[in-house]
Amino acid sequence: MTTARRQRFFLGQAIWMLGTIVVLTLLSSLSLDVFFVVSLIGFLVVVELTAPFNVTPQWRRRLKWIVLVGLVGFGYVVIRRILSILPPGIF
Amino acid sequence: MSASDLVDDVDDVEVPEADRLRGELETLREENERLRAEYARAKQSQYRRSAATLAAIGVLALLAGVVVADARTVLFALGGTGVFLGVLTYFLTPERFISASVGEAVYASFAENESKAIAELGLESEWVYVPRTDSDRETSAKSVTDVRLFVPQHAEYDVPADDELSNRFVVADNGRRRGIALQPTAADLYTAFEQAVTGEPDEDPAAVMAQLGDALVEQFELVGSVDSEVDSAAGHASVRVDGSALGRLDRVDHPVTSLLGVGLATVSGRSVSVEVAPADDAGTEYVVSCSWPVEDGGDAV
Repeated sequence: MTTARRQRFFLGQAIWMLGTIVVLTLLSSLSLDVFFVVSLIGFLVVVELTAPFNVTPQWRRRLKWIVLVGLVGFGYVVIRRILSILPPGIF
Repeated sequence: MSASDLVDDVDDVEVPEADRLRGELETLREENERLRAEYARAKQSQYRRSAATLAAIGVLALLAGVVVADARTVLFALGGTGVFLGVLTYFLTPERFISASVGEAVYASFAENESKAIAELGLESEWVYVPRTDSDRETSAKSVTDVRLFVPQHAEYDVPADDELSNRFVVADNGRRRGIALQPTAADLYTAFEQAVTGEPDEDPAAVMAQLGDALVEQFELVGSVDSEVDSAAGHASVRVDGSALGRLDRVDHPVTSLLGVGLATVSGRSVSVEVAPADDAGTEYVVSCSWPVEDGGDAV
């Protein structure tokens, strides 16, 4: 796929997500919330680990939109968890 | 003004030959553009197909998750992975794509033409990247507008004035300022570098060399690795380059050496002389030496 740098980025993310499914399944802890959060953490780690120091190629600038959508999803997961912990009747 | 003015002592060079070379250069440029456009279209559709396939597999897994209740979570996770990787592939698809072998083939013909033209015009094997400046009348500050690759006629050359560099053939009264002034290969690459660099290109030669090295490896992916040593006081930078995607670096105005020369000349505002020497027998590693004039106090002139 594409150039070597993009290919490295794509493979890193694919391995992380598939590995997450395998590990969480083996630990019998697979839930969609946990999978989403661990995948988002992996995405942010891969973005940071592959980032050049001095330049930001154009394709990397586009990644911020994916990060933004991921953070919105993360906010939704957190709010849902908080609401499930709070005693009924508060909201 | 013509090429023959440059070589009044060389009888075997004729203007029609220079015209023929210019014509060939123009044809190669057009062919280069056409190949780039065709290859980009082919590659883009290929990656779009890959993105659609991954997304389709993801949707299938999601649908299977709706039907198979026992493995619903795993199938939904796999479906989400497929859809996300499809979206990621679509996002990472390059706007323009050209394989290294195509770029190398086009550059090889271009370099061959330029080196033959330089030899036939009786010019030196010296590459000097000269910045052209524009003065601000109010602040009298000078800013670099563009850079020219000057190939001098004499070994003991003088850098031509800005207006003399407007012409391809520099035919100055002073013989030491004669030669040819070309648009460097990396002129547009440097513009792309300026847009991608974090902040502004640094004015310190050591810092800008680090930025240019990062751009060569991470942004343009023209080389595997770059290691630079800069002595600002002496006006010298030595750059070890490994794994060039466009073949040998010791050819005329190679994009890698050109970007280093254009970058240094732009930020320093001084003419930069570039030399290339192989660092190993295999021809994969090269040392690029950049030199620029300095004042007695150690600052660049």
